[in-house]
Amino acid sequence: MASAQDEGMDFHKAFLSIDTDHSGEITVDELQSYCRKMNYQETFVQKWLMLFDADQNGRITYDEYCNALGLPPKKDVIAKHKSQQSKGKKSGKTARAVKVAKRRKEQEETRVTVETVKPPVQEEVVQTAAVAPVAASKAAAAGQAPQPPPSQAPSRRSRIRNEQLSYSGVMLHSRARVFQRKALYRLAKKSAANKLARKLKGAPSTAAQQRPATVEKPIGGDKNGGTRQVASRRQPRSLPTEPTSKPRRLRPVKTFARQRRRLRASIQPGSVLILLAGRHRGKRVVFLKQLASGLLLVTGPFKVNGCPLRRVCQSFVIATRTRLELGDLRLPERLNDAYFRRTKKQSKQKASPAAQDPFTRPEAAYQLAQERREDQKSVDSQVMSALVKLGRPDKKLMLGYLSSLFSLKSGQRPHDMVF
Amino acid sequence: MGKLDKFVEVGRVAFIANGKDSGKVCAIAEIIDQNRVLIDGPCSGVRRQVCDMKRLHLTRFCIDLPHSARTAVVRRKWTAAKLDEKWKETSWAKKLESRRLRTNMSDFDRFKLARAKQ
Repeated sequence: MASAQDEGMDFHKAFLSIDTDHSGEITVDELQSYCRKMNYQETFVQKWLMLFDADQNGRITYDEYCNALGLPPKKDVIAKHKSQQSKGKKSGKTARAVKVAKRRKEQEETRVTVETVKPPVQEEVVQTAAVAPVAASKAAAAGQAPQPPPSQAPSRRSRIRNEQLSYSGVMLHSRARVFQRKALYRLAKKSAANKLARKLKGAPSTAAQQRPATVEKPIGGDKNGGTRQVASRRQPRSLPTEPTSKPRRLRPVKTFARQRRRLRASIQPGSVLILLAGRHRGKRVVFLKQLASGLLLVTGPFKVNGCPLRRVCQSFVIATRTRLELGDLRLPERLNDAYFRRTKKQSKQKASPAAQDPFTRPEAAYQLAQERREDQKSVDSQVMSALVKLGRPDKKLMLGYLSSLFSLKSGQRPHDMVF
Repeated sequence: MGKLDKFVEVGRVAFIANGKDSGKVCAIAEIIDQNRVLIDGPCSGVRRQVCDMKRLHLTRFCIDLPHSARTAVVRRKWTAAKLDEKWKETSWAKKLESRRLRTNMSDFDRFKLARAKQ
């Protein structure tokens, strides 16, 4: 008849036997290998994690384990167990197991630093990182193991290979199965519970959340108490009476910012483009580069045809074969979409009502920023030096070409023409 | 140069008007029947093949070929007769060339042409 003490020891023994690398923690890998060894069902892993892993980080520490069971932690037992880790040989680990443990340790270390810096961001990152391996593994041909970014996903995720069965489009493991086996449900989702948990932890919340719930606003009238408490976050004006379920998008729509930008092969830096629309239509301009939004950055040059540094849409442009050798073109760093973005005109001047009359109010004159002048100069000088390299007669022709306007003449058919 | 001086005969140099080898010249190596001939143009990149007469435009050149001459013989006779240069000198070939250049003019070329014409 085993005493109470001995029974307690069995649970401890179980922990020690599962923790094969003597780290003092049971990881998912160890649970899996134990499960395989003892021929348990796969639910063993998930159930253990669910039951014992309190902070949901994929590792069951000795303390968590004892806590869950209601056992007093035996410090000497675990200390002895952990000390065996430094020896390494007693557990009879293979060289590979040692390497894996080492790599895992490194990952844990980097993981910890990520955790301490920004809790909410890490969750998103882990989620995307886990999605990436799944996607990568699905896309990979047989035999390729995707490597998840080491600072986020644990190493075990790379071991689950999901191969396409000979170009059929059918994967060896279904999506649900992969989800199960990789224990992807473990990843911290941005659920309401987690949000609350984060909030309680004191993690930085969004600006909207940082606003106080009510704001004091002054109101008129002597008998009204002077101020009112107004809720800073308004309730929706109307709530739906019937539940509306939006049909789930099978393929997520990409926002414009995330869409892939394409550029015609005929458009290269230095290419002469014919603008077909806009203020400078008909002008032949020099292409510089494609901006992040997909729009093309072009320049006249300004002195040649009056077209400044400008953004232009690819669809409204004919790319000619003519190309200037711009060579090592150095564009100012600040030339991006934000630089060219239209600024709103100054609204409502605090002048007399007469001045606000739209018919009499003078239009705010456009002020050319100094930076625009500088950038135009620096870019155009490079374009002009490329022209000078052509040699005198060709340079003259090219300048004439760039300053002339394109138009379709009688008998010209654009679909028959080579540009 | 009357109208009836270009005959369909072995050795006649013909211009291929359409098909894969359109724009090239070749020699008639053999006459098959009323409508078809065997052509060969080793120096102009035309493989030895059967060709319908409707695709061919006869030129005023003719080389001395024995009938069913094999490709090597055609090549020898062709180079001996210097047909490549002779063909290029004809106004027919020159017109073809100028038409080709005109269709392949780029926008800049058109500008230069307009400038030159001024």
